[in-house]
Amino acid sequence: MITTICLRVCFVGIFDETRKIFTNWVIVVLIGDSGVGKSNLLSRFTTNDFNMESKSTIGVEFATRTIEVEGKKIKAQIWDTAGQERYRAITSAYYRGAVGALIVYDISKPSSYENCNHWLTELRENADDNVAVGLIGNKSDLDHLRAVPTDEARNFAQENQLLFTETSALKSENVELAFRELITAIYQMVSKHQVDLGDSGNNNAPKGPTISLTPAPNEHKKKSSGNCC
Amino acid sequence: MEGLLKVRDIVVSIANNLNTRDYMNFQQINKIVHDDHLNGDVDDKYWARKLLLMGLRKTYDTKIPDSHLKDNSDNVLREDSTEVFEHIRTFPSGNAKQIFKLFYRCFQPYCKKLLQNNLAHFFPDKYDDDPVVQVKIFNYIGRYNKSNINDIEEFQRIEQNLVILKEIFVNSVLQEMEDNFGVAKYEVVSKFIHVLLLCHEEKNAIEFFKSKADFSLEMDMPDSHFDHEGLLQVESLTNTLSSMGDFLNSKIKLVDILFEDRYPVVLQFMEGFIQETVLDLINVLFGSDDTKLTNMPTVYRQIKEKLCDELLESKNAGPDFHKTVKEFLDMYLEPIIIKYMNIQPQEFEREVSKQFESYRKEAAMKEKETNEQIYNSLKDQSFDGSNITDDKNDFLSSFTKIFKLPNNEKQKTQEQLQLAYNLNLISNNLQNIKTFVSLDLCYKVVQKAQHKTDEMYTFHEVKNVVGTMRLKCQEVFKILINQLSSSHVRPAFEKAMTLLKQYDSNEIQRVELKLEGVETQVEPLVQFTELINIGDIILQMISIFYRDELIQKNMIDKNRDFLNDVVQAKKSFEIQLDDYVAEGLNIGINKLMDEVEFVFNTVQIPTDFNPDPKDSDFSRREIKPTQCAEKIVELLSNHSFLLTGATDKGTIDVYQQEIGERFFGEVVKHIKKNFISADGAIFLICDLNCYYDFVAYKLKQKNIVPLFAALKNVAQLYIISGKDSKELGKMISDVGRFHGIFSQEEIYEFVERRSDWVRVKRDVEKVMYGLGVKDCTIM
Repeated sequence: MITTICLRVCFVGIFDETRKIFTNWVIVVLIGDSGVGKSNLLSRFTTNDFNMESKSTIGVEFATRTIEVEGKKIKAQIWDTAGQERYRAITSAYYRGAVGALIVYDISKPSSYENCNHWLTELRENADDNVAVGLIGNKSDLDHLRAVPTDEARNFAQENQLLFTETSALKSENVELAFRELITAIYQMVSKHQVDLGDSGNNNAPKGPTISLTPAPNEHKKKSSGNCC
Repeated sequence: MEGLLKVRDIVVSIANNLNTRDYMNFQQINKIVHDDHLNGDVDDKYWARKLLLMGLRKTYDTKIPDSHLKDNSDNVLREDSTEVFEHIRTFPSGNAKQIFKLFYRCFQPYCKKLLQNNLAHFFPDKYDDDPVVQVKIFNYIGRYNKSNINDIEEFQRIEQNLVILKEIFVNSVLQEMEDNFGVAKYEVVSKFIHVLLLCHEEKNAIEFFKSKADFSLEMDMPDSHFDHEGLLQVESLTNTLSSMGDFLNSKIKLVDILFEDRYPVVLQFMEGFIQETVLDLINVLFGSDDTKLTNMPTVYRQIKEKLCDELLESKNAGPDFHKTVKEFLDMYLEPIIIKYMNIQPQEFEREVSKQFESYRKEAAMKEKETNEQIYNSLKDQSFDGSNITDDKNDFLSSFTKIFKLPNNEKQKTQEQLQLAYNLNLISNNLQNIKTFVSLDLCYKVVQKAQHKTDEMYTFHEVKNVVGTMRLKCQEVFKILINQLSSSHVRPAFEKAMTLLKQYDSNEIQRVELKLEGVETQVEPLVQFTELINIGDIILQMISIFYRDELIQKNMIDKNRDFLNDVVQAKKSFEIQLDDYVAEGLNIGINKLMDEVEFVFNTVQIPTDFNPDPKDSDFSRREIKPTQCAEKIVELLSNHSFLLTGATDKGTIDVYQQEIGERFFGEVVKHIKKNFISADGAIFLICDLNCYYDFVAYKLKQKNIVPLFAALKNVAQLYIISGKDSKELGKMISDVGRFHGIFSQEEIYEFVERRSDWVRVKRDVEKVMYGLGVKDCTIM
């Protein structure tokens, strides 16, 4: 299982939001093309359900789940968006307030992978600069129909400083992991730099350090306690 | 004189009027007569005429194969008077005289005795003890004597004396029969009967039998088969019929011994028995009291069993004996059966309407009692609550204390009491809606109709009454439907409907005085559903009745009689019930929507969708449906599935779609009542998602889902930041986005509910119309 996850954490400008992380909701948006399995990833994560005949999402759906990270309870609120939304004004409304995002593609559908670039661009344009982003190659159960090589996607993720996981909502593989890693990354980033909030202000460059949370198989084992790579 | 005899025609004419003896002498009178006139063909003709008169047939065979003649030519006379007529039935042309001789020898001696009135020792000794042979000879003498008709005087004398002799003979036979019957020598009697029959004395034979088979002499019948309450004593009737059956069987046996199958007696006897004894029994049974006729099917079944099915086989009547007896029974009982059937529908109607009426009276009385109880209980509460009286039951003291109250307070108490009474009454009645129709009573009435039909069906094998039976059974069915409808179901539904209309949950909730144990939160639809359920069961009962009693029993031809008024009556009853259901549901849905509106207006708070951005709690608010939405969905859930199992899928679909559609209208109205900010929009989306999920996944009414999908899209109009006002304008113009559910005008109305509308309006309109009003300047 390839679980190299890089998290780009930029502290600048998000302190007002992140300070509230323990009391307020951590908002994560699910974006990606229509039909890549965003709603099923969400239902797998929040209610452990999978719906074979799920229809395409209209507008936006919400679900919540509280997870424990390093002994702290984090209340995650995930926004599941419609992949086919054409109005930027609407998508940008979704990104507003999000501290994390998962860009999802279908490993058997190259166009959905190619569009990730577009989604990333849109996210970067509209969301807060410091949003934590994960790239998810969903439907790993369809390996025999695979059209997007894992390495290519991983490279893309590394280049863009994204967390990366391949998941199967159907088989419930890596779904929990993908969400947990994203939320953990958000939490660690915030807790580590909470003290800096007062003085570091807006000085930092937009592009911060990348933390490797989980090592790749060829690397020696590290704890997922946020090391820069 | 000599000359006359030369004339051939004269000679022949004379000869033809002569008896045998004279003819023979006349032939001898002279040579011419003998050789010319009365010879050859003329002679043969004379003898042939005699034979023809005796009933023989002339043949024209030239050959003479007849063995008798050969015998005769051998001078061996084998013929005797008992058989000659059996053996010789024809004679060949030209041989008449020879044949006649045979008969002459046999019977002329008897005729001579009769002519001389010499009747003693009439028969030769060898025939003395054989009455059968004697009868035969009598009959043959009669036949033979016919050949003497050309000597009318002699002929008549013989004939008369033969009749006298036969009478004497028959009398002695009858005497013998009596004697032998008396000592039960039936075989001997049978032989004499045979003799009588040979004598053509059938009448005497039958009379003799009848005199031995008189039921009234042998049996005693009870005066009545009804008890003092007018109920048929079946056992007593069975006993009577059983003894009749035994009687008949003994006579059937007797007939078979006496008559064997020589002469038909039993059928005639049976017919006579039915005509006299059975009809008599029926008359005694029913008398002039038509109400007793209701027992006709039982009586008929018993009669058929005892007086037909259980009868022995009869050799005398042949293989179709039982069938014929049944036909007799049916024929003679037909008028009574018809009379019975004619009064059945009216009787059914009378009984049923009586039942409904007494139920109605009882229900009215109970209602009155309950109302009094409610009033008293409330009155007690009200006075108790005001500490007016310590003793609830002491009417007098409470009565006097009323007067001690200050006027306005007293009035207030009374008014309050009246209001509470009225509302509690409605509430109580609503709870009892389902008791308006008594399923038990309906079941009993249907059962009664079924019983009536089954009883009439007893006669389905009586050919001539089948038509009447069908008509009367159809009539019973129509009466059943009419009575069910007009005397019970219709008033019940109408009453229920009135109550439903009166019901106002808000008013009921406001009443301070409540009855113990009476839930004031009545759900009218729940109650009404019970009534629908009962209506449905009644329809099912009717359908089963129609199928089992009318179709299966061939009371009505489904294919031919589809325009029959029976089918029409059934249909209109179904339609009527459907209409009530539809109307009731409509009222129910109205009430439900009133509640929905009430919840929207009271539970939804303005900050739900338009939170104060400065409120620090806001950011901690979980994104989930508002309390109001949860309550609404609960309310809808409670009511949308009430009909499941109570009625057909079509009605349920219509009902649920109606709820869905009406609810959609309420939501639209509700959105337009609120202000929604970009932050609050998330919560509106949450609510609308919640409604959508209810409609799409719980209600599962596909037609309604697009409406709620469109609402989801509407909600997005609010999440858009005010900064994107231009794109907002584009969205309003994007008609396809709302799948034709909303027009542009409606979308515009929605957008007007944005909390920042004043700020974005200009930009929006600019996009929509190309320019805003403020862009216009007067030149």
